[in-house]
Amino acid sequence: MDWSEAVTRVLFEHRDEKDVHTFEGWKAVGGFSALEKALKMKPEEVVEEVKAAGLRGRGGAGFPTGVKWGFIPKNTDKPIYLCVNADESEPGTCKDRVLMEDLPFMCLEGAIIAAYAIKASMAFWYIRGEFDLPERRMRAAIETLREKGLIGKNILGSGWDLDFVIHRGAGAYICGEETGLISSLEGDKGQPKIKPPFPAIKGAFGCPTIVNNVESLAAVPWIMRNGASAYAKLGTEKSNGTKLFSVSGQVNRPGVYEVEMGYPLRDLLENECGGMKRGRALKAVIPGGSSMPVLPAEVALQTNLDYESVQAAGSMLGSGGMIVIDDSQSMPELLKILGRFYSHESCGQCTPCREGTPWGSRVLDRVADGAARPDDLETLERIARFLSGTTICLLADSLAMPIRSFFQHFREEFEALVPTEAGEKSGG
Amino acid sequence: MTDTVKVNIDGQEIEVPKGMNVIEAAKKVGVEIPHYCYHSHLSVAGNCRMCTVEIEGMRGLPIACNTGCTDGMVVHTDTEKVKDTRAAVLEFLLLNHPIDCPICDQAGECMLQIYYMEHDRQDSRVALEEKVHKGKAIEVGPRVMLDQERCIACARCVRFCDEITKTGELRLLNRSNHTTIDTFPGIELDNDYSVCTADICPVGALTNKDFRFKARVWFLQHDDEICPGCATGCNVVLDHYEQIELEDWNGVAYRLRPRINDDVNQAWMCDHGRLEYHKVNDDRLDRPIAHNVEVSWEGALTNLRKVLTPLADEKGAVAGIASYDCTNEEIWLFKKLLKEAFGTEGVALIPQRADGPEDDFLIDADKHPNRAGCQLVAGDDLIEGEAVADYLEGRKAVIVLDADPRSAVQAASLRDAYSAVKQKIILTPAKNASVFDASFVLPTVSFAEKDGTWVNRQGRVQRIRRAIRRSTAAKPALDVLAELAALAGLQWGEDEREAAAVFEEIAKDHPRFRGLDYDVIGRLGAPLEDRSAMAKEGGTV
Ligand SMILES: Cc1cc2nc3c(=O)[nH]c(=O)nc-3n(C[C@H](O)[C@H](O)[C@H](O)COP(=O)(O)O)c2cc1C
Ligand code: SF4
Ligand code: SF4
Ligand code: SF4
Repeated sequence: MDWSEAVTRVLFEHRDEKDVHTFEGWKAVGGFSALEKALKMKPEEVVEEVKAAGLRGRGGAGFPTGVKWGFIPKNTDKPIYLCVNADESEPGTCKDRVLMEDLPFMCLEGAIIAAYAIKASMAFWYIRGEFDLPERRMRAAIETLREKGLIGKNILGSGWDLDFVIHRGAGAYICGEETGLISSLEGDKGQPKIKPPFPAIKGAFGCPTIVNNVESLAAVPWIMRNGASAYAKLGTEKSNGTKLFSVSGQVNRPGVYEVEMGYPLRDLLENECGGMKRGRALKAVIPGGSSMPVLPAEVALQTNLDYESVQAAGSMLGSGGMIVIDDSQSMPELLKILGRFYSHESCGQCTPCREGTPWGSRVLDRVADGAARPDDLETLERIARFLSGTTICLLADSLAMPIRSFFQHFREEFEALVPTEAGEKSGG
Repeated sequence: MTDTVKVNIDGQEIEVPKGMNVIEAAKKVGVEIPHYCYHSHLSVAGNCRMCTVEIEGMRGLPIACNTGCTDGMVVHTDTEKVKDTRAAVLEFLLLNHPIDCPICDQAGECMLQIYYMEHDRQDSRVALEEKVHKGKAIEVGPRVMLDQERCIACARCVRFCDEITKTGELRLLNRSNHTTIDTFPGIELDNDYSVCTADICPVGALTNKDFRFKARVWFLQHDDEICPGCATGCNVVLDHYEQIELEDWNGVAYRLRPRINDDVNQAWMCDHGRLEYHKVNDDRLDRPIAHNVEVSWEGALTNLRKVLTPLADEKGAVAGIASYDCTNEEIWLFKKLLKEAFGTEGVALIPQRADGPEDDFLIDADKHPNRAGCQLVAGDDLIEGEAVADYLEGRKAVIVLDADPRSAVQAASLRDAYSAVKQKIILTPAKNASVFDASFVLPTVSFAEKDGTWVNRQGRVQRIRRAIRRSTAAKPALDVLAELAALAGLQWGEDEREAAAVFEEIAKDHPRFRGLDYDVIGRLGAPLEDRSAMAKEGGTV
């Protein structure tokens, strides 16, 4: 494919338009026509449309959005809820923030269509507590739509009612995990819940609930306006559409970029991001948020940005929070920071995560700080082994994956810091 | 009917209800899957990760507590992977554990100790000074002590307060390895069932204040009993200590714990009932008393013979008062004694204590364990309430069985009528207000030292047992009643005063006890025949 052609924009199609963050601005670029169209369809037809588009969840797991909507039980006598996951806190990820700041009405339009599709009567916008401007924009947008009758009773004469509530997080990363989000929303400590039951069956307040990432929902208006097949044409065979990447680290132009799925990672770094800072050499890339396995430069530069390619390369697309590491950076130092983050953010309910992440962090601290003990790398490997697949949510794996991949690709850097039995550090 | 499925656990086939979790299914084939957070009577939390197993066709290590059985499922609980994971979980759990077993009340019944010995046995990789410290010896409530360092964050206690009492006092606060069990500021763990949290706490984090530092559990013996605290009749275990010196037994009761019975108390009991074991230890009478002087049994009986022999010929000269604390067997034999020895019709039943608080869960307002049974067995002879004073009128002697006619609980008319009776013969395990002016006090035993049955508020017959032995002069009431019968010239064989045999008599005579015996009643009790249901179904009454 010739990527020099103008990239088709879905989410950022109108981002540069004047005042597009206002109601009028969004309306001026065709805003709410998707909602009007959706409300003339049956909810089931909207679900089918999103399924056909091949939209996959942008919160990290990449689960097909329309399929998830279809899990809501038919003929339930309980209220159905939509939770918009705007808790975005994975280190390296800042795409939802941009969407909410720049295109709040697009995000809302997508959420309202989603709520209609799953027959929700109430939607919650669960937003990261530190997001000040995004929160103000979303709150104002919800108020405006309430005034305009696009939120409330009998929306656009469809006979369908929807209310919206904003819920601010209180600073815990784990409230981005969908069941942690639900616990927090319910007023309890933000801690994930055991699955099954899945939220679609028993979610917020014990009722069927769909949790969707902001970016997933933000794509819905475009899909409704342009049709599922137009969206499905974008990207690769299995990874349809476009994806936002929030690139941080040692590049000249860090930022949030929209590219079609399948776009080469190398092009993103060289074209959009303007190459490496100070001309330094690329050492490694964490492609999908800090919990995903790191890829060494030579592998990363061969990788295309779609779910399947990144997985084949040994990592995951995740949230698209890309962290670019150059050859001046110390991998043990970086891993130490990740250790601190994940041990601090463990909700503390699962034994391996509660005890293993802080233990791992303590060992990583002393390795990076030159106070390693001879068996510290084995200890870390053991911790990583028992953090994987042994817990209620994936936070424990989120430290295990970096530990393993950092060791796999950059073990010499760690070994150099560990004394041999005789008490000498092999690297001197 | 629920569907059943066939599962294979460590090579053993078993049929279980579809969806039963793997821990429960494994129990049925005698395989214990170790666990901390799972409790059969609470929701599943899945946080401890101790119960991982391997299941063919499933990825990774599913947790047995949250995996329902499906047909054809093949479960392995003893693979290397499973054993490694258990050891790793234990290593994680002990990482910040204070290991203060020598001063911990849970020692000996602590699941950390037990599973460590079974599944871990590694040396610690973490130095003591690296451990996270938290609060110790916190009075989290009036009846429960908290040691936050020993907590393994299983959240059983949290779920208990959320789901069973619905009072929600406890929460796991903070995160990561600073996760700490506590109440919110200003809130105490003070509900009517709070000590259950100490029972279900698998470690020494929550302990029962009443029991704290009283005994090492490995010295204690455990026997099934029924709580005597109210008409609910919660199934309990009595933990007691048998001190034996030469031929002397000096049993001491230490605590009551709930015993699972899904038809009565599930897995719980109230905090009030916990203290009922004091009835075994406190205010006991060890020797007979005749006219305020302690005497031997022979002395007491010789004196009593003088009183009772002449009255035996005078029909109805002797009255009988019992309380709703008595067993069915005692009421039966008491009735028989009054009738056959003294020609007295009728037996009076009086309360020992006033009605008290009740709730919509276990606690019943009736603070007697056997009102229903006493009334049924007394049958046509039953005299209660205001009729008791009239019944006492003109009697020359009264035999009081485990009751206290002088107590402030009784009506003034009853107390007066009682005072007017000349000879007062009291059979009681403990001192009470009536002991002081009785002609004869014959010491009997507490609920934990005798066999018998009670009928709870649901009409369920349940057994109490002789668990404790004490080398005093006190005897089971059934024996004392037989001796009184002998004084009056009746000869009752051994059989006639043995509790199980007496119960057989009751079952033969009384339609609602029909079909029951001690084996049928078993550990968990059995319902009385429901005559109303039989009548509805067209049976003959
Ligand atoms: C530890 C952890 C943190 C997460 N944080 C977020 C988050 O901040 N935002 C988000 O959208 N999804 C997050 N997720 C993923 C959510 O659990 C969930 O899969 C997602 O919100 C579903 O939306 P989607 O299907 O639209 O992607 C997190 C998952 C885990 C395990
Ligand atoms: S894995 Fe960690 S963060 Fe997730 S539920 Fe368990 S303890 Fe909490
Ligand atoms: S106090 Fe006991 S029951 Fe409560 S969470 Fe801690 S270990 Fe579990
Ligand atoms: S509810 Fe009644 S029977 Fe149960 S423990 Fe309390 S006092 Fe005893």
